[in-house]
Amino acid sequence: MGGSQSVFTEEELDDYQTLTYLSKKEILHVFKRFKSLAPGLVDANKNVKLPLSKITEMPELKVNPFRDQICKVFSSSGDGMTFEDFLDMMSVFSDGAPKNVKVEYAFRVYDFDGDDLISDTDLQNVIEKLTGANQLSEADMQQLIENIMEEADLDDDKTLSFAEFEHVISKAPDFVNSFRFRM
Amino acid sequence: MTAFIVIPMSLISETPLTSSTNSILNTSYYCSLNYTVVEQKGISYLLDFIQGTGWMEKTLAFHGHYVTNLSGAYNLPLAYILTVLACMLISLAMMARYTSKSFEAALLNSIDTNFEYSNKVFGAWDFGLTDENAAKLKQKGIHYDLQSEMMEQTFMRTRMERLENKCALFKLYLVRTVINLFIIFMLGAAAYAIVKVTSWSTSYASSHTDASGTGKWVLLLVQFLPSITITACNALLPLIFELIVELEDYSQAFIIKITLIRTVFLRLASIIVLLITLYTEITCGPTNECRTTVEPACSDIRCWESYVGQQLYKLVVLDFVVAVVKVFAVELPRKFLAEKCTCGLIQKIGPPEFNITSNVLDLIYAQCLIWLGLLFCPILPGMMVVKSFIIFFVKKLSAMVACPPSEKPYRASRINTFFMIILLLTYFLCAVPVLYGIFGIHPSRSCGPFRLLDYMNEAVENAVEKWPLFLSNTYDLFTSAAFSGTVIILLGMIIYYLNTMSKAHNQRANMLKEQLIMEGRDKQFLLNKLQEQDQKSKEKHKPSPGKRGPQPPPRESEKVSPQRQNPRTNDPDEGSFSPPHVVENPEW
Repeated sequence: MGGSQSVFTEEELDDYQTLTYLSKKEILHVFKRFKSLAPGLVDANKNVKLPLSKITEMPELKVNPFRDQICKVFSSSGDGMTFEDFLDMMSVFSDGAPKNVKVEYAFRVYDFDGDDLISDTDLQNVIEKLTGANQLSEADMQQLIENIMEEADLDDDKTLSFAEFEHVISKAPDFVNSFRFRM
Repeated sequence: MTAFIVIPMSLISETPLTSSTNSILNTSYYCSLNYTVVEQKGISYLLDFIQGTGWMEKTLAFHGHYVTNLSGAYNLPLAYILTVLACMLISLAMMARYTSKSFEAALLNSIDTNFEYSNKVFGAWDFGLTDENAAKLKQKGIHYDLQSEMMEQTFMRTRMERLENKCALFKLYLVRTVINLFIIFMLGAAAYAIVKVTSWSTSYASSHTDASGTGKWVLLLVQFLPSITITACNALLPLIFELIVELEDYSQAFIIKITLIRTVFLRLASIIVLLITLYTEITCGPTNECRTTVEPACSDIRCWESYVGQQLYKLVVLDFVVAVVKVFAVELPRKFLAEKCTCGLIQKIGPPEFNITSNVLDLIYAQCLIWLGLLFCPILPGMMVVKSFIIFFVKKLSAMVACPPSEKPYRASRINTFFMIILLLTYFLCAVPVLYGIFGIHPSRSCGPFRLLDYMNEAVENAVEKWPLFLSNTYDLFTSAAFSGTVIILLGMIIYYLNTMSKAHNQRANMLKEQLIMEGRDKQFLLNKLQEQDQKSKEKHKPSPGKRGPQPPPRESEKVSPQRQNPRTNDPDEGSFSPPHVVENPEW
């Protein structure tokens, strides 16, 4: 704690604390984790932008099937994450983030083509990533997608908008618990 | 239990019964002297410990040892009976509380079966996982879950088509009836076997009380024969049930339920049959003045309470031994064989699987034995604590080491309610013999703290009579039939009323749900109309380049740089996502 505390001024820590859902201690912990991904680079310049390949070495992201999409969502410039992007990500995935923030980011993670709608292809991507090495059969996949659309798509436009997604997810009992990184 | 019964008995000395003018006292004294037990040395010591006979019978372990009159003011019979009743009531209270909580949780979860598939997909992944093996397992679990859901759906669809044909439907019902009859027949056969074995075992044991040498080992085997039969039936028949149920063409969820129900019936049936057999043995034929059964018509049982206690004690011991042996002698070797040996047969049987339902049923069975044995064998709860402790670690070994992690996800919430209901059912089943033993059967004259009474509940009544008149009258009022009848009718009416209210609430919830969906549709309709109007008026006034359809969410406002706005005050009502703000939200 002593070493990393000298990296940030009191002002910066205060700012970070107001802008994210983390406490000061957690922010310093996040910095420690960020540094551990590439110690040499971060020591030199704390605002360095680490490439996505280094970010995905973090234990939670390494085993997560949605890691590439998560990095894409939180990276401000598209090809790497600075510490602030990383802090943003950890803040959304922390326990302090309210449900609506998590739902919003979950929507963005599941929206693979970035058009603000979850279409059939997005769903198919999600399911494929979830089941990993063992895939569902084509017929099963189609049936599943059809079922989901039937349940969630209230205005019958064959895509899920954010409001429809929110309507579905907010009823899920474990969503808040599962959509978080354990510090 | 220990505090109120065992400790006082072991600490306070007994005032000896002397002959007096009271005839009951005399009889009891004479009978107690007659109540001797064959005690042998050597290996019999250990055997007797396991069986609960011989020297064990006269210890604190069994009902027979406790006496009616302890020096001092401690009323042992009253304490005995009140402790047993209190234990039963406390168990009931705890179970009722747990069941109601899990009912609530199940009900709240079931409201959202609207979004079953969506939740399965969107809420499936646990983002906090960090271990690669755990992640792979989770993926397999998700795959299995989705696949089985899809299979189930396909199955239901094709079944509808298959059963269009009347002939096929008739055949299916015929098959199901035959199978159900077959299962009832098997249960009956198992019950008959238990009855025969128990009665033969009792007659053999009472006629060979002084066996020696190999005879002793034979006696041991015979003593345990009823318990062994019950355990064997409990192990074999569920396997047969599982094989047969394939023929009945049910959906997957229903198969699980019905196999479970049949297994539960089997376990309850075996206990019921054992109890009935014991009852017929205890109450058979004319009894002499010591209230023991006499030969030649019935086997010689000097102290029926201790006898019943012994049977239950043997069941508990056997249960424990079988559980431990099963893990060490069956599951661990199976695991090693599955890993090392590659021959076809071994691979087909495969490594052992940690079957949650059968383990829970084992626990329920053990608890049932405890409830039955409370009255007759006071150290049984203490024994059970030690046994549970050891079994916990043994089963932990089995689950962590012997069995590979299960790829089938286990839906805890739904099935927990079912298990609690079974536990309650078992409780009431066990309460009947205990209550009948207290209120309906005469205690033996030669043993036990109730030897001077005609019925065990008289201990309470005798104590109440010593109270002041007012309290004693109130007690009589509360236990009279008229009062109890009125209370029962009143409770029945309350249940009926609450049931009606709950149905009305359900209807209301459904109505509100439908209204919600209608609102959504109305809103969509109005928005479409608005958009049309908007476009029409725009086309009229200014030909502008087509507006980009749905508005992107305000991405710029989410950055963490110190210059931007505070995400914590990102009021959900301001964003473009909330339905009430009609104008700003063309995409909804």
